[in-house]
Amino acid sequence: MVVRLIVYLVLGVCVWLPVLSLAETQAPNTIVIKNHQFDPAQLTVAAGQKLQVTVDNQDPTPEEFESFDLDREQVVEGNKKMIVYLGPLQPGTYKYWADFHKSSTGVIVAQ
Amino acid sequence: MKLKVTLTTIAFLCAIGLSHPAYAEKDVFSPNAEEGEWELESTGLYDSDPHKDKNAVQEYHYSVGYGVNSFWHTELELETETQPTDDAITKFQATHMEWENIFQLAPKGEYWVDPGIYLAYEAPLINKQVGQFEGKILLEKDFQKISNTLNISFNKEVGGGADTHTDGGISWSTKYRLFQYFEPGFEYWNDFSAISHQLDYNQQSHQVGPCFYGHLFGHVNYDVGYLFGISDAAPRGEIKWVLEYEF
Repeated sequence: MVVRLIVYLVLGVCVWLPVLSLAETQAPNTIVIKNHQFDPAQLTVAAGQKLQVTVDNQDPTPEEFESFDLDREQVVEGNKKMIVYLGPLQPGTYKYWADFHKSSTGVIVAQ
Repeated sequence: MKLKVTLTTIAFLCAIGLSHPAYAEKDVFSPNAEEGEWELESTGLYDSDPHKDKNAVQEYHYSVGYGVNSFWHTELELETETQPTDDAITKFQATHMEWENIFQLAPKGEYWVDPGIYLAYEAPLINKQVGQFEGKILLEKDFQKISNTLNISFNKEVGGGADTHTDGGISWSTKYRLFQYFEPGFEYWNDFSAISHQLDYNQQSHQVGPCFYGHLFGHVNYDVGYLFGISDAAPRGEIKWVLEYEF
């Protein structure tokens, strides 16, 4: 019984994952890291939708995009880009920071 | 501030003083790997039960881990334990060396649920023990500030004297991300033993209880909880903790 339940769960996840990922995804947004600072420091996005944020690290050194509000902690290599998948977000302000250079912070405002 | 001090004290006592846990690593694994991050981790548990054979079982794990890339975290772990016998508690001994690997199957948040796979091999360090392969399906889903993690595990012993059947289990963690340094939640653990045997509820181990998680001083993660046994096979009570330093 338990085994059957697990098999159904795993198969269900495998089948539905790709479909669910495509639903209601917003157009990409970009945050640039240059001289260890985020640009823009405030990014406004639509609330209630899935969201892709491209983090473009134009510094030669790696950086970590970290946010307790968003529950994210992802490293982007020097001179590389990465995508951070977020949401759907409730209306509000979500703080984030560069974990390797903590003086650099930013906010995502969902409205 | 007082709360911070209290939590730090609990974490510290868990790490050094109470040091005495029970049978398997009590850590619900997230499917997420953090590239380039090193971690030193101490995991432990301590069982209490009116029955001698389930009382004062203790197990400690010490590990070093590294995020090789954005989808692979690997860890080397030393397991130590002590088991009760008819007339005494056996002395502590290192029983296994384990190589653990977590493979993140998709970037966090890309899909409705975050998937991952855990693969590990436990090599015995003493003659009477056997080796073991362990696999887990790791799933995580956030609903706003509530984070839910499910592990579905399968174990297979290998080597001379190994059991022929495959064991399985489920562990579940739910936490509310209240503050970065304090996230209350609960965990449920089920060890349903041999998959092919389908044991009765009371022959399986079922545990549930409150747990507290958090991130302190920028580098320290803690997870401490108390699990109540809710089936005959489970110990009546169990203290569990995970203390991790990441850099």
